[in-house]
Amino acid sequence: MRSKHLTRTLPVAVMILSGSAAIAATASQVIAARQARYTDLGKSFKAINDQLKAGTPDLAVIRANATTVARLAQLQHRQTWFPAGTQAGQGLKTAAKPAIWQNAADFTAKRTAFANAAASYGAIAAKGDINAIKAATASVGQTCKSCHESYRDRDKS
Amino acid sequence: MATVSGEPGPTSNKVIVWDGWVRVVHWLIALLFAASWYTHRTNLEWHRYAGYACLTLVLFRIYWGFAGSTTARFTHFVTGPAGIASYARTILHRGPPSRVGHNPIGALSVVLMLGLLLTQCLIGLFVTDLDGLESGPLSPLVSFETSRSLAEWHGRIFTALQVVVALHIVAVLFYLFGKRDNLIGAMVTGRKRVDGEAPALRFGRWWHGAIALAVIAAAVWAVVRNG
Repeated sequence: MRSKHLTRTLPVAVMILSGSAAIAATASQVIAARQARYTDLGKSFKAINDQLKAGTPDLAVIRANATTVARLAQLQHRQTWFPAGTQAGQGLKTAAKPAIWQNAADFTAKRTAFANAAASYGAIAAKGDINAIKAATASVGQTCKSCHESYRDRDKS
Repeated sequence: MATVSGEPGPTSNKVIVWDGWVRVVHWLIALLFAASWYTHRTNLEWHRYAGYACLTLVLFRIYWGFAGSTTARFTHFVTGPAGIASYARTILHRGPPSRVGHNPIGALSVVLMLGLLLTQCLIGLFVTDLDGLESGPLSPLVSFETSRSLAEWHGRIFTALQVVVALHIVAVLFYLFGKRDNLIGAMVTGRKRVDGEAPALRFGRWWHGAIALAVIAAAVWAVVRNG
């Protein structure tokens, strides 16, 4: 009985004691996690563009990376990568502009546009028509750029 | 090489000191530097073309520094520490200099600018943006991480270039207003007032420069197209 009681109360006590520190760690963890995913997106786009520049593009590499782009685009649409309190300032290292939270509806629309463009991207890559893949890469990329123009601080990214 | 030593200019004491290639390349590089600066956030397609053009001109200028006209050659203006020190003692004297061409301190900025521009253009070929969407033609040869760290160096070298270019402009204005020596006009017209005897200068033939530029441009284009 006594030990059970302790295991239940100890974590709560730790949380209360380290309250503010725990919140700060969470915000920077959220930022680190989303940055890691955007880096993965960048790597996938570079891998695809590298192939598109090559004389004989490797379709397997393009397909694998288009699938990654589509999967991450779905994640950023369904999950909350930008919870309140993770904007630039307060000593947080992020390029996320406060406008993300001020224009929440527009930000959501732009994330949806990316998810939609990326969803058909995987299917286009699967078909293997290089010109169609080039066009789709440009149009998916355009949904990235249009959001970054409004909501990413270039001097901090 | 054609010898046109001391060919008199329109006024009797003005002589040609800079050949057409030096002048055209100088102003084109200045223009491309501004264009690259402007397009790096507005149009990366044009930014790449500006970079290829700049790389071509910088390589040409380096070639011309070994094979071109007297005043274009590195051996004519790179003097080493002793030459710099002795020139520095006379830098506050007014009026046109005792010898034509780049002065020993100006030579430092020529070498520094050409070196930085060459490095900048070459690095740019390997750069990728944060999203892997825009990249230089040789970026497939390196990883995303390498490409991104080169992009950071592309930014640092640009800052260094801004500083050197600013110093260059300040120095030229100091010569104009402080020393009454118009270097800007000379870089436009190629002519300079010279006191006393006209210097013996040899000038490269225009078609020698044209062939060299065409060969270098073709080589750069082959690298960026098939790289």
